[in-house]
Amino acid sequence: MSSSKLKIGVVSAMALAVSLSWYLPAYAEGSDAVLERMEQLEAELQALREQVNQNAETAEDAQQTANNVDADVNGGDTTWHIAGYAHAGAIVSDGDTEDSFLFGGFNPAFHFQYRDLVMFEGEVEITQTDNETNVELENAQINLLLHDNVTIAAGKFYSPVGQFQERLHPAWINRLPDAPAGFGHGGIQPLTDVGVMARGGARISNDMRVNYSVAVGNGPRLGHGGVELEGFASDDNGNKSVSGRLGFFPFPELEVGGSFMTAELIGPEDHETESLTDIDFDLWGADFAYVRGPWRFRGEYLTAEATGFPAEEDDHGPEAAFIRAAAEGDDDHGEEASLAENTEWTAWYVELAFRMSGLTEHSFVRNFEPVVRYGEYEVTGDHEAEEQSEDRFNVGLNYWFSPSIVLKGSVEWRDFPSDEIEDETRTLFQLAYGF
Amino acid sequence: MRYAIVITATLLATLGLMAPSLSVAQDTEAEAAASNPMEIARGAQAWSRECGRCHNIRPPSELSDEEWRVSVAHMRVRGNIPADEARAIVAFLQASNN
Ligand code: HEC
Repeated sequence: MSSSKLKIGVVSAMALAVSLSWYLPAYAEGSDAVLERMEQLEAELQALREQVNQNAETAEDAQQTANNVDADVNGGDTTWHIAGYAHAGAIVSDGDTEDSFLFGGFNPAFHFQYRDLVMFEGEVEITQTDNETNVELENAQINLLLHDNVTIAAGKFYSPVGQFQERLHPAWINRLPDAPAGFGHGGIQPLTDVGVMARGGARISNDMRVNYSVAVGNGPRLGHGGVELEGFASDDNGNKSVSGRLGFFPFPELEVGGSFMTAELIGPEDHETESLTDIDFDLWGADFAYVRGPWRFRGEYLTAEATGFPAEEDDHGPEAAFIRAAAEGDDDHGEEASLAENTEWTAWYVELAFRMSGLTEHSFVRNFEPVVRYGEYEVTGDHEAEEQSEDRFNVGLNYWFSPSIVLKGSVEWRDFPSDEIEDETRTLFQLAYGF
Repeated sequence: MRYAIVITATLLATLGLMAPSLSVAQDTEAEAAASNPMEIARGAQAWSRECGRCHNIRPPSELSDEEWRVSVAHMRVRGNIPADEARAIVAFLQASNN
C-alpha cells in the first residue's frame, strides 16, 4: 500500500472514531463536558496525523535507501564476464617432429566494466610442457572509454601491428591449427607491448569507415633467436617503441590496413668503442581482410630490419659467434643465440576459407569449411637467424559444431631453404572451444 | 623528464575528455536507447556488419544482457568500433537474447 493511501485510511478511520465517540456520549453528558471531550479528541487526532505523516516520511526514506543499495549491488555500475578458450590437438609428421598428442592450452579471460567508462580485460595462457605447467600473462589492459571514437588503453596489450596477432590468433578464430610462418611466437609480428595505446574508429559515410591504433611501449629486446617482440615489464634502454595501425573500409566487407613499429634495441658490445651498440628496429606491414557470406579471404605482409650491429671482418666467423654468445650472456655458443649482424625479415601469407553453408542447407555438410593458406618467411643477414626461413603451405578442413567450437584438420608442407634443415610434411589436428 | 611531461599532458587531456562522460546521464540515455525500436534495427545492421569480421558471428542467445554489455565493450575496443554503433549493437543483442 502506498504511503498516501495509508495516510487517507488512517485519517478516515480516526474521523469515523471521533464522530462516533462525539455523538454517543453526548446523550449521556452535559454540553460542556461534550465540548471538552471534543477538544481533547481533536488534539489527539492532530497528534495522530503528525505521527502518520512522520511514518510516511520514514517509509519514503527507507524506499530511497533500498533503491540506492539495489543500484550499487545489482549490476548498477559494475558488470563482468568470464570468457576465454581452450584447445587440444595432435601432430603426425614425416620429419624430425615426433608424432604426438598436444595439449594446446587453456586461456581464461576476465572482463570487468564500470559504467560506460572503464573496461578491464585480462587473459592468461596456461600451457603444459613435459615437466611443468606454464602460466603467462597474455594481456592485462585497462581501457578508458573516453569518447565514442577514442579509447585509451594502459597496461599489457596485444600489439596493434597487422591482423593475425590482435584479431586471429585464438584457436577458435584461426582457420588453421597453427600460425602462418613468421607469425605467432618466434616470428616477426610483434605479440604484445607494455605501455599506453590510443585507438578507435569513425564512420565517414554509410559504407566507409576508418580505424586507428597508436601505441607507445617499452618495446622489444634482443634475445633468444633474434628480436623478442613482447611486452617487457620494464624498458632496458629507456627508448620507447612506437607502433600502430591504420585501417580503412572502402565498403563494409573489405578492410585494408597499414602498420608500423619503430624501436631501439641494446646491441652487442662494439670491440672498438667497448660500449654497447644501439640497434634500430623498424617494421612496416600491410594487410587486408575480405569477409562476405561464406567467404573469408585475408592476407598480410610484414617486413622488418635491425641495423647498427658492429661490423665484423668475417661476418659468419668465430668472432660473430662470440658476439652472439656475449649478447646472450652464456658461453655455451648455443644454437638459440641472439643476433650478431644486421638482419632483415619478411613474412607474408594469404588465406582463403569457404563455409559450405554457402552451397548447401544440409545440416551436416553445411558445417564444413575447407581452407588453404600459403605463406613465406624469409630472414637474411644473421647466419643463424637465416635458418628460420620457411615456405609453408596448408590445406585444411574444419568442422564447426557451433560458431566457436571447431575441429580442424590440416596437411602442412614446410619447405626450409636452409640446407641444414630437412623439409617436412605434417598433419595437424586441433579441437578448439571459445567460450 | 620528456616522458614525464608527455605522460602528464596525456593524463590531463584524458581527464578533460572524460569529464562529460562521468555523469550518470549517459547510462540513462543508453537505457532509454535499449528499448527504442529504431536503435534495435540500427544495432541489427551494425551487428551483422561488424561482428563476423574476425570470427564467426556469435548468436545473441549465448550471453545474458549484462554479459553482452561487457563483451561488446570488449569488442568495441578490439574492433575499433565507434561507440554509438556499439551501443546499438548492445540494444539489439539484449532485445534478441531471450
Ligand atoms: C577486430 C576483430 C573482431 C571484431 C570486429 C569482433 N571481434 Fe569478437 N573477438 C575477437 C577476438 C580476437 C576475440 C578473442 C578475445 C581474446 O581471447 O583476447 C573475440 C571474442 C569474442 C567473444 C568471446 C567473449 C569475449 O568477450 O572475449 C564474443 C562473445 C565476441 N567476440 C563477440 C563479438 C561481437 C558481438 C562483435 C561485434 C560487436 C565482435 N565480437 C567483433 C575479435 C573481434
